Amino acid sequence: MQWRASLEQASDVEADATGRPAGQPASDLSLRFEDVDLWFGGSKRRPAVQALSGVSFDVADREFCAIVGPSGCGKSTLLNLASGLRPATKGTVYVNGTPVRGLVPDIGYVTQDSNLLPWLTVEDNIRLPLQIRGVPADQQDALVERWIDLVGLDGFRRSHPRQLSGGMQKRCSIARTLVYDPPILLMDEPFGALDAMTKAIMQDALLRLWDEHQKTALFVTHDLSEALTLADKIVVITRRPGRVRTVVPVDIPRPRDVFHASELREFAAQHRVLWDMFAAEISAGGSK
Amino acid sequence: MTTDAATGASARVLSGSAGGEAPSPSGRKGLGWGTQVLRLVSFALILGLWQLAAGRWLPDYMISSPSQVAMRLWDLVSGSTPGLWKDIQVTAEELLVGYVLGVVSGVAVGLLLGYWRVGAAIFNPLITAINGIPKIALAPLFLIWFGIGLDSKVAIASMTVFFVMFYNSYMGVVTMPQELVNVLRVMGASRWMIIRKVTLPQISVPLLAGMKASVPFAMIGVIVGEFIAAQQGVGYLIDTATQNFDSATVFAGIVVLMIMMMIGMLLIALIERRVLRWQRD
Repeated sequence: MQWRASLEQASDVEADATGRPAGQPASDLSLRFEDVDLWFGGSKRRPAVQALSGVSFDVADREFCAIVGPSGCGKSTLLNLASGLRPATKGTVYVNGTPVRGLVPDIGYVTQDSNLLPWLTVEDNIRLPLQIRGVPADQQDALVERWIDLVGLDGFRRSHPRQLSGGMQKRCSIARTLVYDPPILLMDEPFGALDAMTKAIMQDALLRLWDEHQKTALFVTHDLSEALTLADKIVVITRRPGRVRTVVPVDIPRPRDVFHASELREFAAQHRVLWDMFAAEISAGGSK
Repeated sequence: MTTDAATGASARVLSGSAGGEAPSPSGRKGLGWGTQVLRLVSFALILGLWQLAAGRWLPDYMISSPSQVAMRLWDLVSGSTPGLWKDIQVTAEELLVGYVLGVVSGVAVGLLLGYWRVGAAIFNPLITAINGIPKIALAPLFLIWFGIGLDSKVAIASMTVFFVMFYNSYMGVVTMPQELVNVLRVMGASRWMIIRKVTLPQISVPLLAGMKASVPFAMIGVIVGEFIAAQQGVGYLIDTATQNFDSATVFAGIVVLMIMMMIGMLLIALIERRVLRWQRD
């Protein structure tokens, strides 16, 4: 819990100068999905599967957008499209106004699994993107130092990932992504595998970092409460093939208290509406 | 059997020598000394039984006896019966050259076909077919092709090693975790960076496993080659002794081979300890 304190200090240092009004996205678009279709496979033996169908939505600059939907609806695939790891079959994805062709340089991607390199220490894992980007060595040291501190892995800098708990691995993975300060953050159920307590703490930390560093975030989750707690806007995706069912702005004021957000009246009301929509998707799918 | 026990013991000595490291909480390291004693006792028991059986229950020319073997070994090592050191040198050279050639070529082809899909589709059936042949059956051919000197033994050993290393490195590339590669690609890593940071460390696990498994294979190749046709080498020593029903020398030769194997395995274990540091603790 000590790392939360250091987080607060960090946000004190860089005082909130931007003053982004809650729920009011800035004018310039950061991410745009335009009528995106995606098909998987299609070999001689297996017929192609449609993962996404006519998906369109925007994420404004510095907006926190959550994507919810039943499992297997292609939520994660949206992130692969935005990062440029996978091309769309039809339609276009724009990042900062430019159509995505190949990998997008300004993106940080926190995958569902921590995906730390098992042969590198915590320290070296966090340093890796800085080495890749050719950041000077002295700046590397300072940044690594700062982020190890921020995510509370101070006593574990020379540990290897397998020696860490799931929550610590996740923290390391998030630090590794944020350390190079990407303006756009893609997150794929980053807290899905964590216990409730750790999850809440991580959510809290994420909101603080997001506040402090002013990033555009696209956050995939299957947890409605998590989406409501964190996001400015929720995109509900239908079961496969995934389409945009609806886009809902979240009315809960910021700054939010992660630990008590669910007690707010706005929260309960929105949760009910969203849940009915969500449940309909799930039962229609007949899967989990 | 005895080889396993011996290498196991040497590996334990190695891990014990780490000294400063904290003991692992799982407690896998370090058997109690009671177990160590029992190991020695069982080893001594077998030697005792062997000594007892020799000449009493089984004729000398079949099993010799530990004492005779020890004396013969001493004769050979001290040089009263000349030639052992030259034999060891020849066999070690064949072994080393064959092993290194096999590892290098196997890894090279494994990596090549791992990355070159079309090539893999073309050559994999061929390689699998050749691998299906018992390598030892090819040994006589290799003697015809490469003569009865060092070359033929090197060829046999390197061929057996080649296939082990080929499959291990090929599978290492094919089963490369794409997620890790993608994480680095998103960060903007170059191809070379990905090879350095992901491919090489990832592949080091199956490569070292292959290198370990290859040592006995290389030994089999060399010794069989020497059995078939040679003028020097520990295998040659054993073969000629067999023809003279000199089982003491046969066993002495086997002990020498065991020691050579142990040294080989120890070297690989040392490399493994260095390279796979991240896998332990």
